[in-house]
Amino acid sequence: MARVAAPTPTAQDIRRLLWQRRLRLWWLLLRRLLRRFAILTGAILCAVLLVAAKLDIALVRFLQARAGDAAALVLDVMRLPLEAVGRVGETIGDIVAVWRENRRLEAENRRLLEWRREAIRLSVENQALRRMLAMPTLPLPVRRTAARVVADPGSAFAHTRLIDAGSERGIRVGMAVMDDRGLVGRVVAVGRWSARILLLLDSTSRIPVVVEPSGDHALLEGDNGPYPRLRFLPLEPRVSVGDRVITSGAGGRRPPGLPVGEVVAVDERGVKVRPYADWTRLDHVVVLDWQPPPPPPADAQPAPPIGPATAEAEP
Amino acid sequence: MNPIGGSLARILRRRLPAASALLAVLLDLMPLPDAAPERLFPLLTPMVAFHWALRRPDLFTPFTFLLVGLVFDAAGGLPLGTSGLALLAACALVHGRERTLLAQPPLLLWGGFALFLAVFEAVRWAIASAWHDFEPRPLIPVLGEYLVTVLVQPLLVPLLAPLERLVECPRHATGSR
Repeated sequence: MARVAAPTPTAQDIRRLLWQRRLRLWWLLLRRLLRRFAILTGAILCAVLLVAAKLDIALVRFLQARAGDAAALVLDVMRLPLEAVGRVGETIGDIVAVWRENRRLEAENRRLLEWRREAIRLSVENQALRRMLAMPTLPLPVRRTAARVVADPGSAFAHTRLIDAGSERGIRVGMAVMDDRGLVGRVVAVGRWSARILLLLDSTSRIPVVVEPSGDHALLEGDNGPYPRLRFLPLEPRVSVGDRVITSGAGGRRPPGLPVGEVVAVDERGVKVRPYADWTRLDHVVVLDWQPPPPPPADAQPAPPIGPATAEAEP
Repeated sequence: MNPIGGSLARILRRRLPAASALLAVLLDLMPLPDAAPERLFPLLTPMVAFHWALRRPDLFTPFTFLLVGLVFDAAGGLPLGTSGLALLAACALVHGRERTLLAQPPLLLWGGFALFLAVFEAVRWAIASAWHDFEPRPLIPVLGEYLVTVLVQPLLVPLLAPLERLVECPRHATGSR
């Protein structure tokens, strides 16, 4: 096999090779120097840049502006996931805020409902008291004690009410009790702070009354129904439907002239009276403290006889 | 993996420390939603730089410090060279002492970072004051930022640990093979 002789390098090739080696050597030396003095070199570079920036050199300004643009671009992209996370956070925050707001509103609503209930109660009470003030004028001076009905233990067998006024407020057994329309009943039991009223609907209730305009005396007797009846009327009563029934004052326990009701039925079974009192709104009543006038002096003329139905049956 | 792909992956892995530092720069510059100007946030860049400077000094050289600092200044609108100089000054503290520092218990290492950050903040404060006609800048915000960064730094270390495993050719802490 014939051997191929290597081409003889020319002088130009040798010079180029020498330059390449020289450059490589300088580069290695520079790299070594830079590595050894990297921190110092960097610091010097930074100082130069700082001075250039302070001198407001256009190139530095340009570089900084371009770097700012690039950073803005990158940051704009990077901000997207962060904003998404932020939106999720905001949504969660909104949900929490709505939940808190809801709880606050619920609490406020409860409070307002309580206030509303209280306002309604006060309104009803106010109306009732106003009605009390506008109640029929009593023929005789009496002391009125307003009371609230606090219990309604009524049943088919007993028609009573419990009021929040008792002996401490001067309530006594037998006193008449009215609402803003008419007679409700009378006090049958008194405690220190409460009293029990027997409604005139109760079958044990007996109230001496007078029928107007005839002036017939009678006894209003409850039968546990809505219409108490008139008993012990005169033999030939002059009673008709629509007649007014008032208390007679017989017995000296209740003042005369209190409105009781009106006659709604007259037949062979008796006379039915519809009381004026509104049983459905019996929340406030007035207890009447009435003292009968003192008896006349001994030398005075005897009083005219009272009708047959003057006796009052107390249970 | 083909040779080209493998080589590219190797190159990319070796760039991870610098890339993570640049990412930290961007995160530092990112405007956080609902953040009031007076709020204090930790500086991620010095944390990342300290981490890599100790663990991979062969990949996180002083030139990387310089590059990261310049990017920080350029992107953040600071006078070019401010953060670069500050990072280099801090780098001088740890450069060549990586093995010694890594041998210390975590608490002392934390103290080392506190010193590293103190140099960084001090140089930045000094340059900023010099820039404004040598009028001292307020120290309270700098101190606040310093304290927050020092306090948060231990939390970042576990986050960077997975990156360490990704970086190719693990070497000795000193950078020698």
